[in-house]
Amino acid sequence: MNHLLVRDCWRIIRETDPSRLNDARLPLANLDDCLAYFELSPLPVAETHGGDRPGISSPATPSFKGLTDEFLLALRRHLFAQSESSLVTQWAETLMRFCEVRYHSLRSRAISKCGSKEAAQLHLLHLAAFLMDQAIETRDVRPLNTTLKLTDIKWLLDTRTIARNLTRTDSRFVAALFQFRLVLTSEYALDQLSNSEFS
Amino acid sequence: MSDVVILSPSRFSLNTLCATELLLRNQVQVKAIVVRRLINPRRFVKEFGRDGTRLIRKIWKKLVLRDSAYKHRDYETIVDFMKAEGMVFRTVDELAKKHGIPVVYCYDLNVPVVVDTLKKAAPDLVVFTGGGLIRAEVLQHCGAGIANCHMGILPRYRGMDVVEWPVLEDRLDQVGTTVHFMDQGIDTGDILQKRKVSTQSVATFKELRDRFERCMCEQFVETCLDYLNGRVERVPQAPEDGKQYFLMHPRLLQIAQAKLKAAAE
Repeated sequence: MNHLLVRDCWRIIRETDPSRLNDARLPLANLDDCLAYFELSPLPVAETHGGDRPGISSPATPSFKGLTDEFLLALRRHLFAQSESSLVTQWAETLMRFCEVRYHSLRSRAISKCGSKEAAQLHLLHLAAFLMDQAIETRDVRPLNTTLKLTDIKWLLDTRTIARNLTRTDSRFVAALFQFRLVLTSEYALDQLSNSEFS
Repeated sequence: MSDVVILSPSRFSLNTLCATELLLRNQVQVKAIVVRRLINPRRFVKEFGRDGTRLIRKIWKKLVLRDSAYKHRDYETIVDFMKAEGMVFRTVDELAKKHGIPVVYCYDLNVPVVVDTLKKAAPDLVVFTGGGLIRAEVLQHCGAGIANCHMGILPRYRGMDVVEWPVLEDRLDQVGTTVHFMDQGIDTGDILQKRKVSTQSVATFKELRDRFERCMCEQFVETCLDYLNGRVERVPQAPEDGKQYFLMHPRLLQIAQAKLKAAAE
């Protein structure tokens, strides 16, 4: 079922004005392998690995409290560039543990940290994208496990509304891009895992 | 003669009954059994939050069905083993009464009454048969330490669902049990003994776990006896030697189940 959703969403994304897809949080970056796997043609113009942007300094200790969207972006850039692997691993372990242990209070914690439901949703989607990227890049099933649990949270990802939100012009559009990314990458990872190609 | 204190997750625990009987038969003095009380709403809410409906199934199996949960199996289970060994007691209270062992009840194994019991008993070793995480204050009063039998191969597989994770990762040679000492981390204490378990011709995780249960108890007691008699050494593990695993997502469990079945065919 999700394979159909992926195709449907990708058709909508391809018909979208490319300038709207270039969100600074890179919701569509580094998807070449997944797109190829589902035989989806890549976007005509896309930022596939995030380019060479200046790095930002790491918070003193890994924690959800000290995590910002900018730092998540820096972590994902490191992942795509295969640099700073120990820093990335340290953060991935901490955030994975946090999501697992605090699973049932994630929503309230994120809202109190971000100030609004929309910002909290986007922050957690960005976090889920980081964990999924970590799973795929390092072939580690544990962050995949955590991401699957995150995508089970209806408030965070409702597969019934992704296609509709991809046609919107408000903040739900970027959230829908991240949701599409999560559905696509998780289906890719699960298929790879079933075929023993994930280790 | 060595003496131990046993920590038990409930008065119906088959592991506690089996381990206590085996230790007594090997002339180990059981100075006390600390039993966690079953009715604890706070714990239920916490565990339900973590395990969801799995907790209900666990309660149904362990507290309602008990022995009946093991009926109609074409392999030997812990209940078959206990019957064959003439272990007739159905609750920890009955067993303790028969052997004159004091039983201490608590809502959590980290409360002061447990610390007092351990201080008073001053055992050579504490044998853990389940009951959650143990805090530093309790760990300080446990003689040589608290021995636990973990359902995974340490240090690689720490945490939860460690029977299923190696199968999912195509590491069938890494399915097994480890007897180790507990510390403040999750399965990071010194290792005493590892034993790999064959998954050959086992098609379901339910069966694999049942088989584990059957051999774990014997291995656990044998290793505790070996340690008390100085026949086995503690091997420390470094935190970076392994990974911590969490409860497996149903979609991953489905894939792992298919892999186990395929390996059995």
